[in-house]
Amino acid sequence: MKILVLNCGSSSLKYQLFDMADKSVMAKGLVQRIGIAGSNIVHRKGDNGPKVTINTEILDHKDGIRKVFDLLISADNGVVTSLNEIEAVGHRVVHGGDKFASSVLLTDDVLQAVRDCIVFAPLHNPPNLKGVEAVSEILPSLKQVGVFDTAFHQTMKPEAFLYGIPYSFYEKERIRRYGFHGTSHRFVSRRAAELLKRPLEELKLITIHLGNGCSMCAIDKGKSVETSMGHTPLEGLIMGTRSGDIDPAVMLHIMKRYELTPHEVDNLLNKHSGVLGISAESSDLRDLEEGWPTRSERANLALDVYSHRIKKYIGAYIAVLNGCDALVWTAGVGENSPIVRSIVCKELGWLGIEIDPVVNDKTWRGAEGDIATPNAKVRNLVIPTNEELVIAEDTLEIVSKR
Amino acid sequence: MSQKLVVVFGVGPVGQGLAQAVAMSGCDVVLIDEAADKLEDSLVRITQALDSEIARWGLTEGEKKSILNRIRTSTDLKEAAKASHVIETIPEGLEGKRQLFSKLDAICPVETLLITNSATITVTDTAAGMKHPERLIGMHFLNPVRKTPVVEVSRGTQTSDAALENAKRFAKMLDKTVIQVYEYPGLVTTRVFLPMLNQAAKVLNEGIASCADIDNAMKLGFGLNMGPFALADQMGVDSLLSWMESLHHETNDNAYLPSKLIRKMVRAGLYGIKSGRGFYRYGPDGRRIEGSGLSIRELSAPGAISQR
Repeated sequence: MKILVLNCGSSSLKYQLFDMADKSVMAKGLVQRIGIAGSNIVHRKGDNGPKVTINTEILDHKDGIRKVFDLLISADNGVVTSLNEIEAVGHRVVHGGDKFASSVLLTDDVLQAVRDCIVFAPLHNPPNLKGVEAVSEILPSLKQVGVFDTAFHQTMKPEAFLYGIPYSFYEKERIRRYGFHGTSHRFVSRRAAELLKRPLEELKLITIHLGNGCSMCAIDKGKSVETSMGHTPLEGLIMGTRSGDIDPAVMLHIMKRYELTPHEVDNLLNKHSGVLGISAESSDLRDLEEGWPTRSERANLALDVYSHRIKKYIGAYIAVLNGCDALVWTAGVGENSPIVRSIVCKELGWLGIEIDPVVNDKTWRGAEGDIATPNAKVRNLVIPTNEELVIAEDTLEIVSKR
Repeated sequence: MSQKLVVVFGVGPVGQGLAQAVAMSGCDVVLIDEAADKLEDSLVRITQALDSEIARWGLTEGEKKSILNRIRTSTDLKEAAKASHVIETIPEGLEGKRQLFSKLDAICPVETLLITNSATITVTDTAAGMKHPERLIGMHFLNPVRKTPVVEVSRGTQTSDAALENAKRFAKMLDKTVIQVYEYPGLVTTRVFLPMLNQAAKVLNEGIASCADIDNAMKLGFGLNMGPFALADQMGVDSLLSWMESLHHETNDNAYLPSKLIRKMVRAGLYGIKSGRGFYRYGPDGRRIEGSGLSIRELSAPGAISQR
């Protein structure tokens, strides 16, 4: 049983072909500069095979996907003999609004509902949809499944997802907290239960996804009860270039003071803020950690502010959950930054959080494990995330049911 | 569907602004002009424009780099043969535009959309002599292109429905609202603005209020972003005068008869931002100097202009 996973962006698309018999990656790659001169496909066989770059004109998403299909059955770079071997395609879809609480088979009716969610993610949902439409034009019989970043958080209650603004905005515009990275939070929470050898249904977990975007999730009995990203992925933690939580009045003040347009404010908060804005050096924590703690005052400050925000949310989520069995660190920074983990967990002993510095320092680069001290009340797990695999698993489950 | 490549003719503010806007929308663009040095200058000015957007947090350094990577310049008209869209922003003049489009008509495949940016010369006039006049359409972008979210789209008598749809998609790519207008010199924006400027100049000339006060009254009173004088300085008082003359000729409507003050300013070289002085004075960076509004007495005193 082979499943193709697609993640379509505005001018690029990522693909991975899984053999679900052993959940191995048969091939994966990236199509770049779709519709722009100089387009190419970077393809590899297997999870770690050598990269092959194919320079070819790619007019649109459909053209790109057709060329990916051609690659998968090609003599040189192919991994299957016929496209019939592919059972289904799973798509990452960023925003499912409050219409989708789980992954779904993409029928015509469902697609219309996904289109209705474009208003929530005007930059992300349209290219996701283009991918779905392209596949159904190329291979109309192939089943397709949509896996939403927002779906996992649909279990939040109104007290967690409503904002303190007039209720009519929720009623009329569906303005509320949706949360993102749901696929990742869901994956690592299940894996945490396996590592802890306890049923997920009796666990209180705080998952910390620190990548380009950063978000945290409070998970009670396997269900998301609170998450830090909001109506958009701008809220919550400090990120590489995003501000996270901010007093909205500050923005009104700056807008007036510098006569900024909404577009400029949007860019200011999404691309010039966060770790980059504070450090004025880099948006990449790896840069700021190089030579830490003697690199520069601002680099340290950026790391401290970044870590403090995470600490604050841990406290909040322990209160929301009324306890915590484990913290779970995942994604680029979460999996690979002993420094951030150590700053965050410093002086949290009262809450039962204490990490072993030696274990912490060597748990990175794809390593999985518990970095808590043996006696700490709260376990402290590092778990590499794998959103593509979740999409493949969901897809398989949904198409097998029918 | 083919890969988009936009060719822009002309290196005035609108040509530069369009090249920048197209590149910012993610599309490759070639800026063509006969003068290689002007092309150099325009790249410098586009870079400056991008830098000032970065200073206002509107862009990042990385985005600037990829935007500049999408812009090429050339002195060779034949580059247009590869374009999906060709738009001219060369100086207003029927003969020059006709010549350009008849050359483009000969070298561009029939699918290529040809666009004229003119507001005062009609598409039908410009299309005379083309083999495929159905693919010529008017799209009047306003200066500054980046900040003005509207485009006036006008069809000539022979422009096809396909060309109109294509032009609308092009406008959407650039994030502009389309105002579809019947072909007539001046379209909407120029037709309506020129009489307003003319009257404002008369009010100033009669000593009813100062330059800055007239601008402020119109700006605050009617919720405009800029007053008529500040806007005229930005558009170029000399260009405005020539548009008035051409519209007066076309319509015989005295609302377009240029006011004496405007004629006087153009004679004295007060063209606006581009000459450092118009209704206001401007520093080398193009920023308006505080309290520099034109006073009539100043303009009448012998030698007053040259002293500045």
